[in-house]
Amino acid sequence: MSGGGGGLAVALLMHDFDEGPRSASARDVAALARGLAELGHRPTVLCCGRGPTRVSVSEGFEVISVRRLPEAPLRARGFAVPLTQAPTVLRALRRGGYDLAHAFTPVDAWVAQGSRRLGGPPVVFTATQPPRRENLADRRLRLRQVAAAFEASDAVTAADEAVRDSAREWLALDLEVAAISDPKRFEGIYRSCLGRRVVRAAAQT
Amino acid sequence: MPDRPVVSVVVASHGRALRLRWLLNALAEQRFEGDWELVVVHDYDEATTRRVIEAHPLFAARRLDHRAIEPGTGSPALQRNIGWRAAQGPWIAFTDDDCRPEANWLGELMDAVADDGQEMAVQGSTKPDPMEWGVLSAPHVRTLSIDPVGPFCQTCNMLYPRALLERLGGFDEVAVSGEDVGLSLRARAAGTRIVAAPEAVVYHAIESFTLPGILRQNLKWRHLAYLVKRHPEFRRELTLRLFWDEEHLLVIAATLGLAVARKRPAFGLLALPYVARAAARRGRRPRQRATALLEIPGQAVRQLAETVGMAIGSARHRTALL
Repeated sequence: MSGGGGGLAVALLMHDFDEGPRSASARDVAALARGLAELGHRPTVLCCGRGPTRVSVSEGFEVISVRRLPEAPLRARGFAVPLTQAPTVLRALRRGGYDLAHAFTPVDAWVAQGSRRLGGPPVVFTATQPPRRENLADRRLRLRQVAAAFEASDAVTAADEAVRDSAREWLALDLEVAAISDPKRFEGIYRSCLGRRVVRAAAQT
Repeated sequence: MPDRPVVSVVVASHGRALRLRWLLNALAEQRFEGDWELVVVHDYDEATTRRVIEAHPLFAARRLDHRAIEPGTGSPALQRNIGWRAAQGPWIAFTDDDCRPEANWLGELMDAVADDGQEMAVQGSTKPDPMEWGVLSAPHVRTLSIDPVGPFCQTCNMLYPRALLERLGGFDEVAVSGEDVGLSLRARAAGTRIVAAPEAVVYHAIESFTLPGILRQNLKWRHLAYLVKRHPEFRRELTLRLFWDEEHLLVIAATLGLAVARKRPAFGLLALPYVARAAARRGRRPRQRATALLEIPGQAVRQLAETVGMAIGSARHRTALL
């Protein structure tokens, strides 16, 4: 684990990063990955898609797209999808030797926390969409994912003021605003997370 | 807090701080023009209390008061009693921390109050929350759908005069479940008229459970025998004055029929009413029926478990209820 000044292996989790045209958030994540690489870190974007697992390298960072199974049966049963990528992403996190997992959707943070429970890396969650009443409990497991992402991650930030204000209103949380494409800011957040983990581990021994 | 609120809203909260926050947001949207206050009785720790309750605009506006009790010592009856006794208004509106009242909820409840000299209580409508309809696809869900005036008068949407609560001693704190039903029965016995305010709408959460989860959730229903023991007049609302839910009768008949059907195949017909009803649970379209049929085993386990739970409660409280 690199809690000091060395380059960090960072898993950037955004399940829909490579599915279709890139969203604004996905472009920001790509910019973050490039920025982290320029700072000497080793970012990897973990996403999912319908095809077999594939690894690509572009723009200075690695993209691992894991297989996602058809979600229609789960969607029909009221689940908040996607979900089928969870076991594969969890395995990739545990085997990838990452120092830290940085998630950008509640489901990604929830999956990363599953990895953390099994000895995986600490989890940073950046909320990119304003949480609103309509989308907090609209599907099965949604509320659990949202609560886990916002309340159980090692660090939580808001991508902008709209997200921060909405989180204050609907989740009673005061979040720090950190633009996704600011690698220096997140480097500090990552090291702070890792430092706390070292302190916790030392206190337990 | 308002000096002379016309109505006090009382909420008991436990284990649902996030949903409580959403309720506070909905109450902050109330368009009622009279003075009103809100009293929340909860068992949250200090950090959660500060974050969820004291940081809410209603608290800053001095419209929200709260009482904290020791974790593990509360119950819906106890907490609601603490709440209405701490409230100042002559009318007490109850709703739950997993509900979302419409903006005109309080106004519609108060509009239903008639100044005709007769003591009255008001029940509004409760509907599954449209924002959570997606969860209804789950096989085991918990929600409420109530058209007033019903026999149960659940406190997710009720308005009582404070004077009546004082005279009746509020909710029965011995009751583990059905305390709200018990209060309404005592109110009716005391001559209180319960009127409907169908436009006073509260939306109720829709929560899904696994089969083990819903079995645990429904364990508390075994204490309904205490309610029926104390209020035998309530049996007129029960199927054959014995079954809390008609489905309990049907699932018992189906189970017995199938058990005997090996030796006497004709007894298998006893299962038909249950299957017919269960198959129509989700609707009449072919896909809906197919889904409902596939869910029958899980539904039957749940209903049988409820029945067994009620039988255990019957033995404990020495009154028959299934």
